[in-house]
Amino acid sequence: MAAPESGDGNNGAARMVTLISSDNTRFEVEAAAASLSQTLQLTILDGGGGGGDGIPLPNVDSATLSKVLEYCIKHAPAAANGGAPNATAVDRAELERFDNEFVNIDQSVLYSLIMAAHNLEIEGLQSLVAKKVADMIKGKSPMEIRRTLGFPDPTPEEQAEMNAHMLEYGWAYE
Amino acid sequence: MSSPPASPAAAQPILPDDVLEDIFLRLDGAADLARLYAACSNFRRVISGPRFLRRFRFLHPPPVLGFLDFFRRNSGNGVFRPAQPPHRSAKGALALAQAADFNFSFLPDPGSWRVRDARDGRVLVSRGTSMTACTAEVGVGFTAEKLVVCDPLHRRFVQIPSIPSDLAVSAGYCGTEEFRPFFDPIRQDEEESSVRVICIVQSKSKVGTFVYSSVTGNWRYATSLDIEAYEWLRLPKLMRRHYAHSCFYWADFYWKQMLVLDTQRWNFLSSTYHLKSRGNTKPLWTSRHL
Repeated sequence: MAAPESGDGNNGAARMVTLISSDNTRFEVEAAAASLSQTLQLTILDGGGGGGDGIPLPNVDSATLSKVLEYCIKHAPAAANGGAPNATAVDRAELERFDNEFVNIDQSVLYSLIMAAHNLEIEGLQSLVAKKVADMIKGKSPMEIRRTLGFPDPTPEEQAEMNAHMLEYGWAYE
Repeated sequence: MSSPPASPAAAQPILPDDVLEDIFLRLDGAADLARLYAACSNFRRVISGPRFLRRFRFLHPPPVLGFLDFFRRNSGNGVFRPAQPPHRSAKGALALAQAADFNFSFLPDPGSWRVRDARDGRVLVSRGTSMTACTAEVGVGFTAEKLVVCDPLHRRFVQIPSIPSDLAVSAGYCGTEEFRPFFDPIRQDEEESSVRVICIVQSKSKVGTFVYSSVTGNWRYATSLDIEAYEWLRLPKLMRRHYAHSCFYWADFYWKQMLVLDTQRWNFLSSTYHLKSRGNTKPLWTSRHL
């Protein structure tokens, strides 16, 4: 958590805020990292979340929040540099490696992340997880898509619909 | 990754529609979307939403599947020329050729229509009186011409009202002049279902533009150009029409002149170009507003 000072603060130590998960775990993070969330940004700009107060997040459990914050802490320096115009290729490659590794996770965790990114409006994370799910279903048949996403087996009616679709849209099936 | 889900509740999370859209927008193209459409009724609902389809097409411009060849005057209907292998759209093109009806047998009195334009899966056809010399009688000619926009794949059509005679008269036409209707492409920020048709009407002294919009349901007279000073414009029907950046272009290579219709400002522009073949100079354009 001892992220190096990126030099954007005027007075020494970076400002910290506290986020409280749905199961009442408290997370103390740099305001810059938490501000990647559009939802939290205004509260933090207004001076909220500091000291003993903390910002409650009733929709995010501690496991998910810790994962979300891992992302935010990693991406905060680049975001603070305004999309990092002076970032080196090495920095960017490192972030990309981190992102790829970050979404290489169990499906249930991925879904929790999708919802958290959506609720907290963390743009980069939203597109990262959306891309991950899209990559999982690209090129797959309707049945494979259902299985990949953990849907129950189709009812006979659904199966019949799928077969009819396959006949009608043969061009979409290799 | 492929381990079976632990509990049914975790297995089928209900993702909000905008999250699903966000995911689906990142797919590769129409084939992925079609298979996803078949996978689940909830996906089907999201995918068929007009807002989603507009966003998807913005990111994934529909591939060209083929051309409707309707240049031959006496062939009546157009002939669809599908993309051939190894073009990556060849499969979809073949499916379209088999599924669509390019004889327009879904139109009333099918043999009587003439294809005038085709764009974005729509075909503009017309039926009317033959061209005659300009007479004082209003009611024959382009103001009596029936225009229909049809979708040969879904076998649907919409009739567009004829250009009102009084509008033609007030613009200085008698209604029997040379008439060329074509589509004005729908722009990205517009409703996909909307239609705009441009009619270029030419008399001895001028070229005029009537525009129909399905949003207003009306024709209006947009702009005109006095052509008496332009010898090269007297036979514009010999010139082919081009479209780029919201402008239509008719170029005459013999006269080295070009007529431009700007559909943002709705005005004509006349342009002279000099093709310099020697050296590596680029074509030089001079233009002036009319």
